[in-house]
Amino acid sequence: MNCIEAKPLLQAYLDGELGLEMALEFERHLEQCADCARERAALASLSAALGDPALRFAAPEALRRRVGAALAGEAVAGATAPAAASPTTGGEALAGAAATGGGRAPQARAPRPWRRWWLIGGARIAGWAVAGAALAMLALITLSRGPSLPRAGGDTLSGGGAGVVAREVLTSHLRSLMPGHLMDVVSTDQHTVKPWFNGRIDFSPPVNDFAADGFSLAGGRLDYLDRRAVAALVYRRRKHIVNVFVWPAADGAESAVESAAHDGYNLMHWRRGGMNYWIVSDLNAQELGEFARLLRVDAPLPASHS
Amino acid sequence: MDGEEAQKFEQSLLEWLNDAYNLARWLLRDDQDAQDAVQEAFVRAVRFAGGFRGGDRRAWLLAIVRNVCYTLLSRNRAAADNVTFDEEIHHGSADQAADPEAMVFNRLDREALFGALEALPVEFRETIVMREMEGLSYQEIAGAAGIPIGTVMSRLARARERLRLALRGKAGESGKSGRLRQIR
Repeated sequence: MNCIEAKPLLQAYLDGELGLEMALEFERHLEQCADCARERAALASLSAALGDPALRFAAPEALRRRVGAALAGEAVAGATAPAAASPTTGGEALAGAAATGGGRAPQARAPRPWRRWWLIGGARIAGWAVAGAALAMLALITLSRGPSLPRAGGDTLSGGGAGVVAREVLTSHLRSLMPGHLMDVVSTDQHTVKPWFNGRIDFSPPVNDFAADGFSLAGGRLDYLDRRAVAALVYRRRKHIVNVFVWPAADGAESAVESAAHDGYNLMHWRRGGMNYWIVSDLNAQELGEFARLLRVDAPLPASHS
Repeated sequence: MDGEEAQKFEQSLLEWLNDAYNLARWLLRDDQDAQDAVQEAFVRAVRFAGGFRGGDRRAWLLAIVRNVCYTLLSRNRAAADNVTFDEEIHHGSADQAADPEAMVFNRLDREALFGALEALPVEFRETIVMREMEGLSYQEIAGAAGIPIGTVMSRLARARERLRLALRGKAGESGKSGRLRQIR
């Protein structure tokens, strides 16, 4: 991302309206660009100043009493007259109520449709909504450009459309890169990481350190993919992070490695030994493929195949 | 909505009375008008509670407040300019000083920011107040103001640019008393 691309995103970034992926890209640009970083600081300090509680007006006590009394009167009136807006009109009734100002009945003006806009960001809502919005954004971005991700997702793609799990995997990977999200158990020792999953999930993921091959185990965490708790193993290759997601496959079918590239991230997926595997990283495809081979060689084969 | 539910709904509305008043007061720049607008908005909110569908109730309420304010503004634009000056400015929490970025602006006085904000054209003022003070999302602001998200973004950008320019201008002339306004 360069300055010309970054500048228009700055406000949306500060307002928490950028999708996760774009926010991360934007942050990478900020690290390299003193101009944009300065601009960010100036706007952030303006925001902080505007957030000063001293600039807010508190409702006078008299207003509180007035409104309380008015609402009590309204409740009495409401008990004798039917509600003015029928619930079935939903958002339109709301927009109508909001759009008509003092005194006019809501029917007096054509209701303004409650628009749904997706421009460059998800909603600015706390908690899960952020993840949901990021996921939705990611889905939009994924659908709108680049090669489509493979359909060979988990076992529950029914009705979900192509690449649902792939998108979840990529989103989880990006989320894991946010500060403090990467690992629940930090250890380079497979004998520490593997038992950590006991009692946290209902299966035992294969955990191996491949430090000798340049992929060192860094730790693991619980994640949630494809509507179930999954094991996420974190490996490092030089400065790159590789997330490995493992969970039991619904059937024992094996599958070869399928890969996809998206927005600079490489994803690979296969099924082996009764487990679904997804790996994702910004590592180049060749090295990630090498890692996939290591994992596959190491993964236990189902009894009937060995 | 049965009686008990209605009562709960009213209670939740009253929790946002301060937010509603703040928005109305900034849009109308007049205490009495703001009080009238808030009362009208709350009555409407209760009357049209059935029209609420999903989303954030607070954003929904503020959208109603905003629209009542606009009706008042269009009815009596001249009255909106009657602002009384007062002696004292209310001081906010001191813990803001801990934020190094906020300190840049603490050096400039709040009075300058207050004045600059109040001087913004109303369409810029409403977007900036809804965003920065009430924490509404672009989508919620777009819904409340009946404008596309792209317009929300351009208004925010221009409002911020104006505020920064105004503050830069006022940073030089310090300590002019008498233009201080009381903030309740």
